[in-house]
Amino acid sequence: MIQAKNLNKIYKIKMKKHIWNRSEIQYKEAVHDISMDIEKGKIVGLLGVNGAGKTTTIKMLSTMISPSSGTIHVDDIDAVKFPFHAKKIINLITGGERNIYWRLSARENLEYFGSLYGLTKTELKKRIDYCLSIVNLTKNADIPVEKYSKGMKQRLQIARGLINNPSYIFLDEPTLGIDILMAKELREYIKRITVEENKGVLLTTHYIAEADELCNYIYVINNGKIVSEGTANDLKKLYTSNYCLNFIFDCYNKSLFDDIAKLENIIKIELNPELHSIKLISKENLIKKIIQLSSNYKCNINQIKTEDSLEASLMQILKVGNSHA
Amino acid sequence: MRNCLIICSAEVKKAHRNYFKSISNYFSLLLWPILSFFTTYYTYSSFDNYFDPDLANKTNFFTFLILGCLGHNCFWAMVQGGVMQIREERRNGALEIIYFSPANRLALLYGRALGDFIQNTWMFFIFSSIIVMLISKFTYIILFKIIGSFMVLLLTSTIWGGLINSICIATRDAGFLFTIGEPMNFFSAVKFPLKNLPFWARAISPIFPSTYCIYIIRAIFMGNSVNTIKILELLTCLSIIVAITYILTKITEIHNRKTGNLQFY
Ligand SMILES: Nc1ncnc2c1ncn2[C@@H]1O[C@H](COP(=O)(O)OP(=O)(O)OP(=O)(O)O)[C@@H](O)[C@H]1O
Ligand SMILES: [Mg+2]
Repeated sequence: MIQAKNLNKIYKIKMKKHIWNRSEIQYKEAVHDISMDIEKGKIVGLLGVNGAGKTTTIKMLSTMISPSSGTIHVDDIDAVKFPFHAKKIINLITGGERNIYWRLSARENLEYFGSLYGLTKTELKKRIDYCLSIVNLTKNADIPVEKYSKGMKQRLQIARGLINNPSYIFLDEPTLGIDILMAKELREYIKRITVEENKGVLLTTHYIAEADELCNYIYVINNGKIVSEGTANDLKKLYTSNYCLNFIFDCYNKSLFDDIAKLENIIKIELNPELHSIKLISKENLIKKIIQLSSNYKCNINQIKTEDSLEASLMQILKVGNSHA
Repeated sequence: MRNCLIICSAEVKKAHRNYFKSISNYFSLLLWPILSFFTTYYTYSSFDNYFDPDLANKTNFFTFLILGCLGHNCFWAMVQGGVMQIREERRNGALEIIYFSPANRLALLYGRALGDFIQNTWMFFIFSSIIVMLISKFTYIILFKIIGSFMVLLLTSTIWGGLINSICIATRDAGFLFTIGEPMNFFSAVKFPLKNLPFWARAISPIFPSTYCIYIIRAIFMGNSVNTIKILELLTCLSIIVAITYILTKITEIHNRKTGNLQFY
């Protein structure tokens, strides 16, 4: 099991300035107090919008960057203190076509990356044949990668990620830029290796459907913090039991807006005086109360929108959260 | 140890597979050095006034120059190969994956240096060997001399290449290393005898292991006895370089883990 406790990551960023000024240093807290568990045989999802801190989290867990504070244990190995021990039993698969040598063939690529794990010739040969067959590349194993399609390159990435027979696999947006059919096929692979080979998988994505289909447990992160967690069903219940409303009034009335903001059971609210609009997520259906209030203030409602799909609600939560930050 | 050997041989294989077909290498590492050799040769012989009695004879002079060029070529190949390869790997993200693995970092650095050495210098090495064999009388001794100097070149260039590679890993802006060619040319006395180097320049020469390397292979071929002090100096220089490489690698690893810098290109 991988156990991460209270991870923080603060990046130091040098702001660019003119040469003769000293550059100003800014601190960016990319991840704040994240704790999570990854069990073998389970797929854990890390869901969040761009810049939420998914990649930073996955990089800390995979020992590529060190946390500013917090602990990570990979099967009882302290991965912060002894990253080289942890590296042997983990691997990483990223989306896209990078990270492989285009002039080499798939087999040569795997030979090279396998050697980095100290595999001997015979071990390597067995493992390569196995990995290639898992991703269906056996037939094209000896063609230079530059002649591959995007999907084939992506599959090669998966094979590369399996080369050291890792106990834990990190996947950073594995379906990035891949068509829906290919993505579906990829998800099948991921599911299959998790179950059949009892591997622990952590997957980041911003496709909610993907998390829904694959993950046994999901962490939603925003602005570097875990904003909610649970199984896909838990999350669905949580969010579909909420109401997500969007009002546009024909004028802006401050006291009306203030009164609405004071209503009970509101989880998140976003007021926009310029557009005369209010977006809110609440635990009870507030439509009636809001209509009542607006007629009290003699303010007409031009439009009401309600959203209740998992995706819409989740996005709403994330968006509202962002604008508050 | 076994792992290190596996990594080294993987690096050599990769360098071969990845760059063997690269045509630009044939120009920059075979044709241009040959041209540069002839430029030097004709520059000197146009004036025909060798003050150095050792070089008065044409064979010796030719050998002297070609060995200088060979040494410079090997060390330069390390710079060119290292900077280009790592720049490319940084760009295509392979570097990040390599450093994600538990592979021994020094084995990686020296493995690629060795790969670069074999990949990039064999042509010019064979060229120089043939020239040397043609101009001097062929004896079996010359074969031993060739093998001996090959070993010296291999050892020193690989260690030098390890340093270059560690610098390229440490900074994205390793392009400045490309400017090292001229100073190396001068301070290592590639085109003239080391003893003719002005006093102040001799203080700088020891920075470049190529200085000793060229000196020693010249001594091997030109029948001068190899100066033990020079060999000791070479070994000291190499140990210092290894130590710097080791420390730089450690610091880089910690720094990169803090900043996530390997992902940038
Ligand atoms: N090496 C770095 N140095 C400084 N800041 C960084 C670095 N890497 C990421 N950040 C910052 O940390 C925050 C989180 O970035 P991260 O890459 O983890 O997001 P993400 O969730 O993976 O987003 P995306 O979906 O776009 O991949 C961002 O604001 C980013 O600007
Ligand atoms: Mg990311």
